[in-house]
Amino acid sequence: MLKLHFLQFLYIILAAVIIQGCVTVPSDVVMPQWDTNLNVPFATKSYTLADIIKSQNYISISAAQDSVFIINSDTYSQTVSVGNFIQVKIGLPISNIQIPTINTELPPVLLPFPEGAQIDSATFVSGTIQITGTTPPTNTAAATLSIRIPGVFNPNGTAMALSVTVQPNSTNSATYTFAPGSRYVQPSAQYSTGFELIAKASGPSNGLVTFSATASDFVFSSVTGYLPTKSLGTQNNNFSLNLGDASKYRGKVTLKTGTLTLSGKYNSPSLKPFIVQVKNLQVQGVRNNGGGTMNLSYNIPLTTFTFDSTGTLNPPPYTESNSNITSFITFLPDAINISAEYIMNPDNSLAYRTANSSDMVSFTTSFSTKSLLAIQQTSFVDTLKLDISQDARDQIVKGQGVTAIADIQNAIALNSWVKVTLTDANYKPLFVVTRDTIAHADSISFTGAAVDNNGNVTTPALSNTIISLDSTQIRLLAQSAHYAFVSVTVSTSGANNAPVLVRAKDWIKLNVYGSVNYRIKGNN
Amino acid sequence: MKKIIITIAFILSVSYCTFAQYGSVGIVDAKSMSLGKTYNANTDGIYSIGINPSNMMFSPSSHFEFTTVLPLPDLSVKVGTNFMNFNDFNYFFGGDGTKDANGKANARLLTDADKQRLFGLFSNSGNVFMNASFTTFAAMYKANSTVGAFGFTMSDFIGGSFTVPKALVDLGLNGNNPNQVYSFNDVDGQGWWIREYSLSYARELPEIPQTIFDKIAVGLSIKMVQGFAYFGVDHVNANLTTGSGNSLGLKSEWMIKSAFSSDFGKIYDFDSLNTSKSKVGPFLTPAGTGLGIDFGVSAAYDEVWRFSLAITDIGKINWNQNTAEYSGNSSLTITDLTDSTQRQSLSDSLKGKGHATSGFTTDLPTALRLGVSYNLTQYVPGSVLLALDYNQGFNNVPGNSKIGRWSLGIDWAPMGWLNLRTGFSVGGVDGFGWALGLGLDAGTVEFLFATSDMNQVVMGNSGKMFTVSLGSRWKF
Repeated sequence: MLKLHFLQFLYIILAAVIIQGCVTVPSDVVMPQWDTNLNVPFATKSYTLADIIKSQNYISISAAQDSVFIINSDTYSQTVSVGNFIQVKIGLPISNIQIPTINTELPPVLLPFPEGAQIDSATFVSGTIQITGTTPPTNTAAATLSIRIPGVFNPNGTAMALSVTVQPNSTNSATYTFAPGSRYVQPSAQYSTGFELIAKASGPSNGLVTFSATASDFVFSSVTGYLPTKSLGTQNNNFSLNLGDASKYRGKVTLKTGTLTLSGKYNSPSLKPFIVQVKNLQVQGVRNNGGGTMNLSYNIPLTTFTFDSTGTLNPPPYTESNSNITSFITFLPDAINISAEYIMNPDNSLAYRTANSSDMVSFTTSFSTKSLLAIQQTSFVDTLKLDISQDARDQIVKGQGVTAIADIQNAIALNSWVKVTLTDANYKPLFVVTRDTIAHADSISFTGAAVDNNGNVTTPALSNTIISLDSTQIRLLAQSAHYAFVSVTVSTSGANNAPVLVRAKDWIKLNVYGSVNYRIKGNN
Repeated sequence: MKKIIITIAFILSVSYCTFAQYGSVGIVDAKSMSLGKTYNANTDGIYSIGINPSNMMFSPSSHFEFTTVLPLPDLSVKVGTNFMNFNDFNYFFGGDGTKDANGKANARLLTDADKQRLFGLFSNSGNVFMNASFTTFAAMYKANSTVGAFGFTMSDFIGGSFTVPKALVDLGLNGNNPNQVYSFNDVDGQGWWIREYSLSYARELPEIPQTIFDKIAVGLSIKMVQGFAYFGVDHVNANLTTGSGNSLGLKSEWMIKSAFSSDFGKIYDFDSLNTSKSKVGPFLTPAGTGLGIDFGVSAAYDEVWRFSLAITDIGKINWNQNTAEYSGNSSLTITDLTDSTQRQSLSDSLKGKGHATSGFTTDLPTALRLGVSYNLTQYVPGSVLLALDYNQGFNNVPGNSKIGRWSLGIDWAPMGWLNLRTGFSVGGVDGFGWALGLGLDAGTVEFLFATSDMNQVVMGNSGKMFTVSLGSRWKF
């Protein structure tokens, strides 16, 4: 047994010596670190302008014009009621009509309509006919004067009748008021315009009544006939535009084409409405905060337009060839002001036409242009908040350097330069990201495509840019960067700033690749 | 659950194991390990089982021996790599010599020279392996030359290896160079945990009339094999190229097969209906079963010579429980890392998809074993046995190699209770190895201790692998 124990002991000693005696191992096993260079494709993107210019105010794409952008304004309208037109108020009196008191109707006496109007038919809202009777001292008793006017009906359909009793050597008056709905229809046997007064008098024998009459203050709900020329007044409306960032291009953009259309409509159930005239039309662009104004005008001054006999107005549109429309649009106003005076029956035509109190004159204008334009070098800046998670920052800080090569094919006729400056949380600049190591500039550029004389893209432009960040910049990016100042400058690429045609299908391809020097650590 | 898969796969892949006698290159018992894994014509008793069962007939008649976990378990372990020694390991993974505020070593920041040195270590690819074998119980009884000998063993083998593709190391250290093709076709890995129950019988053949040999014996072992876990790379055809604009072209076509005992619980991520928990014990429900046969013949000549011929582990394991395939087949080009669709495609391509299968088979480590030994006792004090082996595997499953292996072993017993053993092995997957071991015979019980890679031990920190084998057997 002793031998057995000895052998066991010897065995254990040998095992310990052989297993542990010859090898040393680290007390802490820790993964090494190293920097490795990864060549990776950062991004391969292709964008069309339709991708970049999302649906915005006033911008659409014309399939019919090979995807040219169309900028359409809203439709700006004025509407004017003709209520002021279908009223004639100033009466033309008749007087000294003598009627013996023989109780017999005398031949009709014509009472003119106010203001010389000629009415074939009308429905009244209001109006009056006043009759004044006078008797001489020779009358021995009171006399009664009765008058009827053929064609005038009360709202209930009864014929109009009016009478006044006058004491001897006295004067007395009576007024007939046209209740709403009262109507007048010129009798078919009447050949003169105006009210035909058929009067008779009764009273003492050999008596006499002298009367006068005035028709005034007529307001019609509808009328057919002749109404004298009348201005409805000057209408002024202001329309705000929502330009958004487009206002940054003020003074920098030149449009080659543009159209502003005008249209008018006399809205009436009548088939033969009155003629309307738009006078002293003024379309004015207004910039806020005293930024100035610009009037839209034809090259040959023209501010008055007359509706046709069907109640329609279609004057020639403002175009780049007959007006300053392109300058007007590129003025990029904050609001458009439209003012005009509206004249009814401007030629004072005696032709009978019809008007209703519900009639409205509407005047509409809108403008459009397409993306055939030139942009002078224009810059605008923005501040972006960097939304980088802490996990992402922890990974970024392991970067030791990055070099990005951007191969750009640009089939958009737009040169652009982009400068990005990272800042800390207090907007203090840290460093410029877009430092082009080829051009030794602090911005990267995208050369615009070549264009022909018509502004059509002929050849995409090729650009190449290399951007490098060192470990210090990467550390700043990971640890301190919170905002980015982005400055973008653009200009169209036409020779001598000639307009270029910008289409929604124009594209830009970016192939960004490069290398990342990354520190591999044990916890990667 | 994926972590479980990865953990098990890793354990299997880095364990290149051998218990008892296993395959043409696997680790074996402590006695054979001490002879440079020379065992064909010089083993006897329980150590014959798995090598050449006919060798049981070279034990004395009416001899009984067995081994179990006491007083020392029969255990062999081999861990190492083919590319990195302890000096390298200490240099790269031992920190830079400074400590952080918590007293932990700071990681070494590799210089370009360091990276070159590390990459150079993988010039022949990087293979990591670990083998372990354990015999729970083995017993042998030899009656006499006519009745024969009987043996029984119950042994576990856990083994595997994983080959890190050189291109992957190149990528990790140096990044990807444009226009260079990085091929990952050399990635490989295989591992398993199997248990063998072996019944052996041997006897002499006096019926064969001959006068040349002192005796001729034949032996046969029939093995019931249970597989508890398997993980193997079926094939990999993958490469990465960096093209124009640094576009990354990835071709990936690969398949991994696996099988795990249901007692491990839910293993596969696609097996959503499986909610079972792990219940690992000494006797697991097998994921695969198989039968194997060892056959051997040996002969003694002129009392000092012994010749041995055997074919072992003829058979297969049919894995048919809890089996799965993970595979990927894609060819894609990454041109935009900001494109989530491309990133997802890349992720899907690398991860592949898994699905259950009806099963698959793997070969046992079939090997041809030839050996000759010569007893030099008449020339040297004490007893000396000189043995020469050639082992040729017929496949590359764990423990086996198609690369033939030669070995030479010398067993010297200067005193009756002490055996000094050494040996050399060349070929196979490990190349050259110098073995050294010790046997201490206390009569009824024998203690064994060895390493088959003494050359690695004496190299100290320049060694790349570590092998130890120990055991004991009771003899009556």
